[in-house]
Parts: sequence; structure tokens; C-alpha cells
Amino acid sequence: MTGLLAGFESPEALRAALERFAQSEWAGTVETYTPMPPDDYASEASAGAASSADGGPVPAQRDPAPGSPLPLAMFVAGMLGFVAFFLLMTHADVQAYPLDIGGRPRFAWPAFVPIAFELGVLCAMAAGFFGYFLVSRLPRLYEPIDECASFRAAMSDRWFLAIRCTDAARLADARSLLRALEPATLEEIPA
Amino acid sequence: MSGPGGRIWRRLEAAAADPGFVSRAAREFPALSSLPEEPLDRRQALKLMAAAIVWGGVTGCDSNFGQDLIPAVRVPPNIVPALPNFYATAHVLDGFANGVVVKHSMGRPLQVEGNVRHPSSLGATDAFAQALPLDFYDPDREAEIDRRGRPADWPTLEGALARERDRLASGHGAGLRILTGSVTSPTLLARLDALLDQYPEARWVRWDPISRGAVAAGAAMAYGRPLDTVARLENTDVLLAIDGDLLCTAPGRLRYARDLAGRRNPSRSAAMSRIYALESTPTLLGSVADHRFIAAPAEIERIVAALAAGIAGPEAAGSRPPGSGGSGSRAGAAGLPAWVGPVLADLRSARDRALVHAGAMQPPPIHALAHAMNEALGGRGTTFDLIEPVARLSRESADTLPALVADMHAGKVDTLLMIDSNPVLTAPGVMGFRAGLERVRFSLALAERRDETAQASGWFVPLAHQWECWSDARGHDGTATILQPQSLPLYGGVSAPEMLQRLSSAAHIPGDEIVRATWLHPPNAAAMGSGWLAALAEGVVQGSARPAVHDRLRETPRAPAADLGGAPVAADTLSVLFRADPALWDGRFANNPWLQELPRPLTKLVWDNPLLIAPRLAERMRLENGDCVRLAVGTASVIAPVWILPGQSPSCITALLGSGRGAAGAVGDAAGVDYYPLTGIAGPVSVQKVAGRVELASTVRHHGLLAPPDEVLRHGTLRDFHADPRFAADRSAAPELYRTVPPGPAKWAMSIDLNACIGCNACVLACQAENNVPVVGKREVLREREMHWIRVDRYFEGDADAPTSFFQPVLCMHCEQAPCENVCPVGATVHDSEGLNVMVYNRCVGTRFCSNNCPYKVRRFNFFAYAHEQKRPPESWNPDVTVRARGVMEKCSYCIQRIAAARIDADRESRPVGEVVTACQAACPTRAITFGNLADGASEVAARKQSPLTFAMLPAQNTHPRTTYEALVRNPNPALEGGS
Amino acid sequence: MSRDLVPAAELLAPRGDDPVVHPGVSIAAMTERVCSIALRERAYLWWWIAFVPCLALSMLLVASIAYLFYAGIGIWGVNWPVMWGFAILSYVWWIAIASGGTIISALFFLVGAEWRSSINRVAESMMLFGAVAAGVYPILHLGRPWLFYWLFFYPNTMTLSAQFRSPLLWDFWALYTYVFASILFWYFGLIPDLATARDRAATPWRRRIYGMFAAGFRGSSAEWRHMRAAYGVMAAIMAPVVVSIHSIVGLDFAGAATPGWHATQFPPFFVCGALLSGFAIVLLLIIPLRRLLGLEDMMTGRHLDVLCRLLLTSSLCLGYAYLMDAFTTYYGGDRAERGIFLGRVIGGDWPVYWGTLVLNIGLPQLLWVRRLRVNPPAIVCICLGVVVGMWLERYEIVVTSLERPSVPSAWGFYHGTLWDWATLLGTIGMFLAGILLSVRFVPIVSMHEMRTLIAAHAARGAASKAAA
Repeated sequence: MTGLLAGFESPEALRAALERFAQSEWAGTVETYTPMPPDDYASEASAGAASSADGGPVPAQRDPAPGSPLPLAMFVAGMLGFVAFFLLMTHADVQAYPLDIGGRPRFAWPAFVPIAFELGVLCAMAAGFFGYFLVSRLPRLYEPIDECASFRAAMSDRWFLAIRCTDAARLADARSLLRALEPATLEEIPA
Repeated sequence: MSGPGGRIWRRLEAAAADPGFVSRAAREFPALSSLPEEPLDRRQALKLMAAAIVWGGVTGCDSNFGQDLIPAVRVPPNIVPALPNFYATAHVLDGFANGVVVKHSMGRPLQVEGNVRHPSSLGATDAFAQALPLDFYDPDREAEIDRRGRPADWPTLEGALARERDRLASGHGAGLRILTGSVTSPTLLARLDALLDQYPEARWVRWDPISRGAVAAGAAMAYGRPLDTVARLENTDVLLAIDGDLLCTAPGRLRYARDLAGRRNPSRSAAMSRIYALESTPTLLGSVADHRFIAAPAEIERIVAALAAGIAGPEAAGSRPPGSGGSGSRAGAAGLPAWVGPVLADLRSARDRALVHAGAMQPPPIHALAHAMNEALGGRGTTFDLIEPVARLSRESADTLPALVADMHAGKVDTLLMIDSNPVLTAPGVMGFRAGLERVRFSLALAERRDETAQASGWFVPLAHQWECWSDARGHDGTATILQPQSLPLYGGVSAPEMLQRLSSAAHIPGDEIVRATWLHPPNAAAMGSGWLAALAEGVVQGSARPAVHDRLRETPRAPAADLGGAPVAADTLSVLFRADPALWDGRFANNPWLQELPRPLTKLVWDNPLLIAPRLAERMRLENGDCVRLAVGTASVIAPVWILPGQSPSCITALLGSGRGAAGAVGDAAGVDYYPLTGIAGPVSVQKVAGRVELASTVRHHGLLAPPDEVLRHGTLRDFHADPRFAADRSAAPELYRTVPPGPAKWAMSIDLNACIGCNACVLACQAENNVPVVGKREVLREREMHWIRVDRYFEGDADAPTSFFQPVLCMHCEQAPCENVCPVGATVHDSEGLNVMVYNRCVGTRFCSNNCPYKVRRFNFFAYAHEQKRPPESWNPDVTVRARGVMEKCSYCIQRIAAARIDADRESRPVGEVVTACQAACPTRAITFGNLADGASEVAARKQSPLTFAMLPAQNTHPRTTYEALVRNPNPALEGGS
Repeated sequence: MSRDLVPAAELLAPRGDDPVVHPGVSIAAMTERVCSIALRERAYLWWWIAFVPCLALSMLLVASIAYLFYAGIGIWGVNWPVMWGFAILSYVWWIAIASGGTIISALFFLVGAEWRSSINRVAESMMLFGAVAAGVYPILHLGRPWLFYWLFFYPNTMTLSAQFRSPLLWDFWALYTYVFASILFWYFGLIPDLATARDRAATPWRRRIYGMFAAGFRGSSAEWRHMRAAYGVMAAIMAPVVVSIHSIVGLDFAGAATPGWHATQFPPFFVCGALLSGFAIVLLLIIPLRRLLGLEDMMTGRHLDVLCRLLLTSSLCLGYAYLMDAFTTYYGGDRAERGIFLGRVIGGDWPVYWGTLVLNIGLPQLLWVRRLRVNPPAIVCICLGVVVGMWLERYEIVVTSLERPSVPSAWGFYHGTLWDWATLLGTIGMFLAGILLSVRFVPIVSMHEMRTLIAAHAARGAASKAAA
């Protein structure tokens, strides 16, 4: 047994559970598995409330999720791609094989821009795509947690909270803590 | 017959006898079996050519026969690999010679250029001469001796000839007839004389489908005996051409074109000449004339009579022609066109600098009147000379084709020898030549191909091509040329003199002996002043030109006007004019794909010869291009499509002879309509619309009259020119974003003088021969995919009934700021340092963007593998030029291979690159095209570019083309402004 | 499939003020519904009826390509002077269709339009297969297609490279960048839904295959965080890319000196056209799909209304472009340009020009009528008209311009051959077959985005109740 997996019926239930754990000593050791981006519904709800005529209550503030390196990576890759291919074209036309094309200047920089742009885009997209698998350590086709029967609903309509810990004693505390939250399902994550 | 030629011949007989070979060939070319049935389309035709080639055994690369071919052990003398040799000879058409120089590479005759020493050529050639190579390599020439359609061999023929000789000897040649075309060849004439002396009862009949008989008859009327007229157009200020053929069919046409053009560019020639053309159907001369007067054939006779009366006085014109005594003013009164007066005045004021010329298709009286006018004007010795007839006439004036056919039917003809003549095709249908031929016991056709006559006659003997045998011929002024063989006979065959010689004696005298005999013995030995070898090398026998004769007009001319067909014909009665096809002549070139696909000068039609009708006639009969009509002359009639030709007289229909042949060969059989059955009939002409249309392939697709836009073609009158010599110069100098001029040792450029261009198409074929431009066939032309690198654009302007016409040769402009280059994604078309816009075939992937972006649309694309489908004998391609593959763009390269050759020579001698002559320039009879190095200020092109008339096509495109034009200037008679 | 969740009457009469998703739709039900389409044991009958002809047309495409490579492009109608024909104009047409899909899925993601969530998968599939259909043409159109790789620059012994000044080369790169990027973008947004399908798949085989493509996505917070970051940037890139690709396609013409093409307004003009045809095709796809798949409560009247408004807008932009086309021709005063324009308006090709005007500008004006904007049959007719009209517009631009070059002696005419038509029909079949396959095997609605949407609406609903 390497941990516990509690499934909740609704995002609100999961959020309540998270807040409980935030105050406990388990802070930061829990992982959530949700069928939709975890904090979306909160922001959406607030937005919706704000936009709703009667101005409903704004939900409690939560610590902002830590950011992702991908946007920066994509930007850098794009820029590098642009510059690299611009230079390549310049080299090809000015140095490697200069030709008289319709009596136009050899360094026809405006003509180089479109292709450089497209290839920069290509690099950025590739960086984002492959970078994603890198930073989120995918593909990972098997994990012990997959053994839990209830986990099948993770990508459908269950909001899961997983605690990973090998110390049986502490897990017991966690179990009691979770029981108090009345999850729909509570399973042990096998080894 | 000896040497490899003979070997090939023998091997072929062996091959043809070998059943294995036959089945092999059949397997390879299934099309052969289906030959007699369906009409051939292009691809099938080309397959057949290929089949025949393999049979001919001349494709050195065919897997079946590769092992049989034996490489030369000893390289023939003076052949340097990769360097061309040039041998002088002449191109003989209807007896008359144009001097040419044949370019050989590795011993293979490949291309034709004019012989500068020959007075009829002065270095120029016509389309026919340019097409000779394909004619020479034409696999359909391959043929064995036939006897009644079955293969025979020489010994059998020898035997038959021996029997004939005995029989003729006993009967003094009774019943022997010899039929030829016009003959100027001293050798052949000598053989004929010998034969006729040997067999006094024999008769020699001469027959040309494109007859010049009227010229001789007309001269006889005027001078009492036939004489030839040699025009001196360089001295002619005012020329009146009556149905003039000076530029298209007359002997010496190339020379005349040169002389004429020499007087047409006001920026170079001191006094610009003025040309009046009076004609019923448009001619080249009429198209370049300053005034073209269109008249019904019947009217022409009246008008000429009136002109003659006005110039030479009424008695010359005979009995009271309309408006007799006619000064122009009164001529107008007599129902004559208003222009007659001013033209008369112009001619009279030019006096001895004026010339009246009548085309060969006009009746003798017209010629007589023309002679009368010329003598009256006093141009003798200045604008024209009279010489002894160059082409020999028959001994007896009675020896004509009709007489011959009559004799044949009467069974008086026992032995008939037909030399390079195709009467079964070309004799007027009414004569019934074919029927007569069946009553001739021994008939022998000596012809290049197994043509209609060959198939109908008892014996067929292959005639050696004029590049395969020794012979000689005279030019339009009588200058003689000795034709030396350019190659051993590809397919075997004998020359005409040899054949005649075999008929007179059993002795074997080789062709060169016969020719030598003519020239090294009196009377000609004297003429060989410069010696035999010199004559061969120069291509002319010096001083053999005919001297001018000094005959006077007959004191009392038989009143020609009386002979003018009696009562004036009503103007609205229809008549048919039979003319030589501008590309196929009388049909002898029908099997030449180059000529079949040569856009005819005025219609731009290819692979077809519809009836040419006037717009007004088309309107009246509700006819459109391609609609079929039944044209009936007397009892005979044909069904043919029509083509509306602006400038045609509505009271006549023009039929071009030479198409629609049944036995031309694989290429020519399909194309066109045969009008010979209508010839020689004096019956009433009727035309009626019938069901059916024929898709006619013309390389000009826009409909109706279309004035050339100013930025494409500029023209004006001599008055404009005097007012401002630079009237055509480009004044819209657009601003430059950037301007890089190719550096480099040379600046290749071209200048085309529109005043000189007569639209004769010689350049088109020269380019096709030089640059391996493929033939695509009618179907592909209909799909707008012709491949010519240089095209002669034709525009009409003004009234459809009497338009002004323009010719403009268009080829790659080699723009310094070439739009095509920017858009090629792979850099397959780029600029070189000498300003050439080079096309890199190997690099081309075929996006075709370059053609879209070419303002001049001079790029051609290989939508199919045209060159490979054409299946020419491999050795007939020009080895210096790539044969383009499928999916590749191509275009004029300024003959870059010639430039490269010049560059190599220059390097070898370490001097700046010298003169380069492009193929089109070399062929051009009028020297309209000038090519050269702009960097060399002394070059002719540099001088021509300085002409005030120079303008660039589509200047607003800022492409800075290296090809520029000189604007067309016309010299209309002020008294007739707007009247033409 | 459960249709009882929503009263039927409400669905059958879509209205412009429908909610983007009906309140009755729960996350669980939505997931169940969408998955049940992709995970069905056997396909619907209508699916087979639609798929078989499309497959046949795709085979036709293969056949015509094979013959093209064997015989050469002479089998097409292209000639001298009309060197470009069906290949190029159909290519432009397809690119426009694909671009419309990208605009919907990328641009409207950036502006956070709620209505996008339920149709962006359809739009992206359209983008993907439209781009693929367009992608076959540039190579087919070459005279020597087997040398297409010369347009890439790759190291070779002759140090030759491509010729970068050619708009055609820009186009080549833009196109293949676009195809590649489309595939990435489409697949990337698909991963969570593939995970859902994996977890719900009945048979082990499907689980394996979906699992393979889902790449072990489990919905952990980190996976979601990075995905949203990357997807956001990708969308931000795709939006300008789609503008660039169609502008560059426009430059293929504007960059040439050819009269009839040489107009600076072409790039934006082409983008307007792309929007128009894109919206039309999306409508043509979702109207039958929402019906056949019972998705009326997710693709509601609101969607139709919005898309119709966009269609109308882009049609008006295009109208402006046509106006400017006529004006610049007149104002430029170039003889050839005017000749071409006159040829279009009153010449032999007048049906093409006027057809373009009526179908692209006239017909969509009907959408000013509110009721028509939610009337599926009317919308389908208008959209079909627009799709045809856009093809005619490309025909007019490509062909009629080339038929009348500056030199009158080179004037010609053009008509497509059977092979031209076969290739066009073939690509249409391929496109539809692709869409059908994605309907069959891929969650056709982006479930994770729908969940977000539904949750938001639920929360909103709760908030308003609390307030009440």
C-alpha cells in the first residue's frame, strides 16, 4: 500500500477537502486528479457570478497555481527558429550560391521574412508540443494508481484526491481525516 | 551504289525478307497493323514513323538492330569530333535553286543556312530549305523498288529497262514520254537532250502544279519570245504589284525580299520606297505594302488595262479599255476605283524608278500589259532586266500535260517515265490521268516516296534526295550551283540524270561523272573559270548568271485587252483561286511535321487548309470559322471547312493546294483537304453550306480584328517620321526601385526591324531546327500547347474587308529585370553575367509560375513528353541542344549554344568574344533580326539600337528587355491618305 | 442514447437566445453522451451510407493521381497561356476552408467565446482535413512532381538552395507549416478526451489504442497546468499563422506582375474569403451532426446564430474587397487590367463573375433576417451557395486573369478536363471521409472544455439562486 485515493462527487467537495488538507501537516503532499482543469470552475464561477446581474458572492481566494515553463520555451524556440532560418537563407543567397535573380539585390531580406516566420512558428509549436510531454513526464502508460477501480472515473465525473505515503501509521491518520470528508470512494493505492 | 549506304540497303532487303524480323517489328509497333483503317492521329503517326525508322535501320540506338550497326573504323577525312563542317549545295524547288550551306556534325547533315555567295539567297533561306533535314531523315522515304506494288530489285529493273531500250531503239522512241517538273539543271537538260536525240520520236512534257506558264506566255506576248524578268527592287522607288508573288513563290523571292526590305526603313535607307499591291487574296507583299487595293479577279483585268492605258498609252492596252487615254482623273470617271488616278500619277512621276510586277497566277495578258507599262516607264536596266528563260521550255509547245493525257487515253503512250512529279495527285481531276496511266504499258515513277503516282504506276524507283546525289540547278538569275551529295543515300535511290542515263544505255555512269561531264566539257567548261573544286566549295559557278538580253517590245502588240477573258465578268460571280500552300507548296512537303505545324503567315493555321473566304461572304452565308461548305466547280466538288480571312475579296475563294493527300506518308495523310480535283475546270463556281464543322487549329485565338496595342507594336507613317523621327520612342520612363545591370564581358541583345519583317516564317523553322523544338500535333495545338520558341504575331487593323496587317516576331526578350526569375521557387531560370535569361532544364520542376509572370508569354511548357513522342531518328536532333523532358519549361535561349561556341573560339585565340549569329537571324531573308554584343560599340546591333525608331515591348513593365523593335513606318501616298 | 434529458420541443425550434448549453446537461450526462458516440460497438447506418461514397471518391482521387503521375499534367486543361488551373484554384479553396476552422478554434479561444467549446472539435477536424486536402495539390501541380523536394532546402553537393524570392516557395513552406501545426494543435487539444475514452472504453483493444494516444494523461494538476499554458500559446500562434498562410496564398498572385493578379489588396482579401468559406463549412457540418448525434442541447440555436452573424460579417468584408477590386482596376487605368475586368464582367466568363457576386455577397444578406439565422434548412442553402461561390471566385481570379495577357496574340481560353474534375471531387471525398472517421472514432465534442463550461454555468446558476 503506497497511498490513498479519495474520490469526490463535485469540484466543491474536492475544494473543501483541499482546504482541510492545506491546514493539516499534509500540506503540499496531496495530488488531485480531475476531469477538467482544477481551478477553472472556480474562476469561471467567480466570473459568472460577477457577470450575473445580482452580483453573487465571490468564492474564497486560493493560492495561485505555480506557473509553467512552456510559454517561455515556445517563445525562445520560435525566435531561434526565425533567426536561424533567416541567417540560413541569407547565407545561401549571399554567400554559398549568389545568383542574379531578375536583377534583384542578393540580400533580399523582405523576401526572407515569410519563410523565416513560418519556420519560427514551426519551431515554437514543436517546442510546445514536445516540451509538454517533457515537463509533465508523459507518456507514462502505467502507474500504480491505475489499479484503483474507482480511478476509471477520473477523466469523466469524479474529482480525486491522492495521498502518497508508505508509512502505515500516518496513512491511518490520513484515512481518518479523509473519512471525515465523506468521499464518494476511498481506496488504497496498491504498491 | 557503294559504301555504307549500299550495305544498309542490302541489309534491309535481308531484314525485310526475314519473317522473324517482320513479326518482331509488328510486335513492337502494333499500330502498323491498323494502318489502313482509322485515320491517324498524331501519336499514332509518330509511332509509325518510329516503326519505319527501325526498318530503315537508321536509329543507331534501337535494341533490335544495335548489334548490327558497324562503327566507323576509319573516321572520314576532315571530321573533327564536336566541330561542325559546312558544305555548300542548293535547295531546289520547282527547278530553281537557292544556294544553301549544310551544317554537318560528325558527318551528319543537320541544318541549313543560306549561301551568302548565291545571288538568290545572299545568305538567307526560306522555311522549305530549313525543313530539309526532317525531309531528309523522313522514314517514309524508305522504300524499295516496286513492281505493281510488289517488291522488286535492281536486276529485275535492269532487265526491264534493257527490254525497253531495245524496243525504243527499234521504234526511234515512239511512244516514249518523259514527264518532269520545271528543269533548270544543265545536267538533267543535257541528259534529256541526249535522250531526245537518241529517240527522236520521244517527247518531253513538263508540268508544274504551281505553274509559271503565264509568265512565259505573257513575255512571249510582249516580246515575241519567252523571257524571264529579274526585278531590281533595290532601285525601285514605286512598286505596283498585281497579285504579287515576289515574296512568297517567285524564284528569287529571298533576294527580292532582301532588296525590298533594304528600302523600307527610313532611319537607314535614304529614300523609302512605296509599294502598291493590287490583289484578290492577301499575299505577303500585300501585307507589307503601303497601299493594298482589293479587287475581284475579274476587276483586276479592267484596272490593269486602265493603268496600262494611262502609262503606255491606249494602244498598249489594246482596244479601248475603260477610261482609255486614262489620266487618273478620267480613269475615275469610268467606274474605276478612285485610287487609280493617284497611283498612275505616282508611277509616272517615278518614271524609270517605278516597276510594275504581275504575279505568276495572273493570266498572260496581264503580264504583257505589265511589260508594256515597264517599258513605257523606262525602268529597263534600272528596276528590272530581261534574261533568257532559266527554266527550259518543252521543245514543242504542244508537249503539254493535257496533250500527254490525251495520248495516254488514245493508247499512243507506250513508255512513260515520271521524274519527281506526282501527276496522279496534281493533274487536274478532269483530265483523268490515273485512268490514262492504266493504259500505259510501261510506266515508271521516280519519286522520293511511294506517293500517289508511284502507287498507280507499273514501276516505282526511289529517287535520291537532293542531299544524296550529284546534280546542279540554276537560280532565278541563271546562276548555276553544283549540288554535291551531303550523305550516302540513307535508303538507296537514284538521281534523275542517272535514271535517264539508264534509259539511254546499259552503261553505269555514276552521278558525279554525269555532272562532271556537263561542266568540264563545252559549252559549260568555259563557265567553270574558277574551277570545279572552287565551284563546289563556293556553291556557285562564277559568272554563270544569265546576261541581260535586249529584246524590244513588239511594235504592234497583239491587243492584250482583247484576250482579257472577253466580256467583263459580273463582280458578284464567285471564282476560286488555287494557290500553293505557304508551307506545303504543291503538297510535296506534306509529310514534313515541321512544315505541317508551321503557322501559316496570315491565318496562323496549322495542320489544315480550309477555304479562305472574305468576311462579307461569311456574313452573307452565315459561315463561321470551321463551318463546312460544299465548293463545286463545274461538275467537281469537295466538302471543306472555311476560314474567314480579312482582306480577301468577297468575290473569290482561295484554296491552298497540297493538303489532303492519300499517300503522303504517316504524317501528312491525315491533314487537310485536297483541292486538285477542282483545278483546271472552267465551269461555274458555287458554294453552299453543309452540315458539319471541323476544329481548325490556329495559333492565334482571339477573334475578330484586334489592333495591336500601342505598348506592344508601334507604327506610323513616313510623315510622322519626318515630323519626329523618335515618334515611336518610349517616353514613359518609369521610376526604378532598384536597377542592377548584369556585369560581364558581353551584353547580348537583339533588335528586330518591323519594317523588314515580311512574316515569312523562315525564322520560326530555323529556330525549330536549331533548338530541337518538338512538334506537338494538331490536337495539342487545339489545346493551345504549341512549342515554337519564336512566333510571328499577326495583327489586323481597320476595316475587315481591307485591313492593314502587321507582323511582329516575338521571342524571349531576355529582360534585365526578368519577372520570370523572381517567381521560380527553385531558381531554374536565372540571369548570367552576359545578360542572358537562361533556362536550366535540369533544375525545372514545372511550377509554370514563370510563364504566368512573363508579360510577353514567350515561355513554352512540355505538358507531355513531346520530344520523345516525336520519335525522330536520334541522329536528326541537333547534338548541341538539350532535348527537353516532360514537365519542363523552355524558351528562346538566344541560341546560347552558338554563343558558347563563339566564346570557346574567342578563348582559344584569347580575344574578346566576336560575332554570334542566331538561327533566326541567319535564316531571315530581310535581315530584320540583328543579334550581337551591345558592349561592342561597333557591332551592328549596337548601331541598330541607336535607331530613333527603337522601342521596347510593354515598357511600363520595367523589365528592360534586351530584345527591342524598330517601329513600323509606312509610306502611304499623300493623295490617298485614308484611301487604302 | 439518452435524449430524455431535455424537452424535445425546445430543441426542434432553435432560437437565437438559447443558452450555449442547456441547463439540463450535466457533466456526467455530457461525458456519457459524447463517449457513447465514439465508443459505439458498430457505426450508425447513416454513417455507412455517408462514408461509402466518400471512400469511393477518395479512391477516385488515388486513381486520378496515379494516372497523372503516369501521363503528365497534359491530362489537365492547363495550357498556354493559362498555365494554372484547377490544381491551384482548388488548393486556394481548400486552404480557405481549413483556415476558417483554425480561426474558430484558435482566435475565439483567445477571446474566450463560450459558444466555441462545443464546436471547436468539429472546427479543428475541418481545419485538419481541409489542410490535408489542400496539401496534395502543390505537389500534384508540379510538372515533375517527383522532384518536389527541391523546394525544401537541404544540403546537397552543389550547394544549391531554393529561390527564396518566389511567393510560391513562401506558400509551400507556409502550407506545410500549417498542416504540421494543425495536426499538433488538433491532437494536443484531444489528449484529455482520449484519456476519457481510454477510461471508458469497453474492449481492451480500444483501451489500448486510446491509451496509446492519450499517452497516460490522468488529469493531475501538473498535467492540466502545463496543458493549459501550452494550449494557450499554441492558440495564440495558430491565429497569426492562419492569417499568414492565407496572406501568402494571396501573395502567390499579388506578388506576380500578371494583370488581374497584381493587386496589393489580395492578402487581406483572401483572408476574408477564408473566413467566409470556413464559417460556411462549419455550419454545414454542425447542422447535420447536432441532429444526427442528438447534440442539439450543446450545439444550440445560439451557435447557429453566432456563426450566421460571423458569416454575414465576413461576406460584407468580401463585398468591400470586390468593390476595391473594381475600383483599383478602373483607377489604375492599365489597359490589360481593364481588359481582364471587362472580360470577367461581360466576357465569355461572365457567369463566373456574377455567380461569385450573387453567391458570396447577395445570398448571405438573407441572414439579416433573425429567423433565418436559426433556420437550419435556410442556413444550409446559403452555406452551400457560399461554398460554391468561393470556388467560383478562385476560378475567376486564377483563370480569367491568365486568359487575357498583356500581349493580345497570346490570348487563350481554358476549361477543365475530366481529370481536373475527378481530382477535385476526389479531394472532397477525402475531406468528408476524414470528417466522418473523426466523428466515428474521436470525441466530436471537446469534453474537458464542455465540463468547464457546464460547471461554470452550474456555479452561475447556483450563485443567482443564492442571490434570489
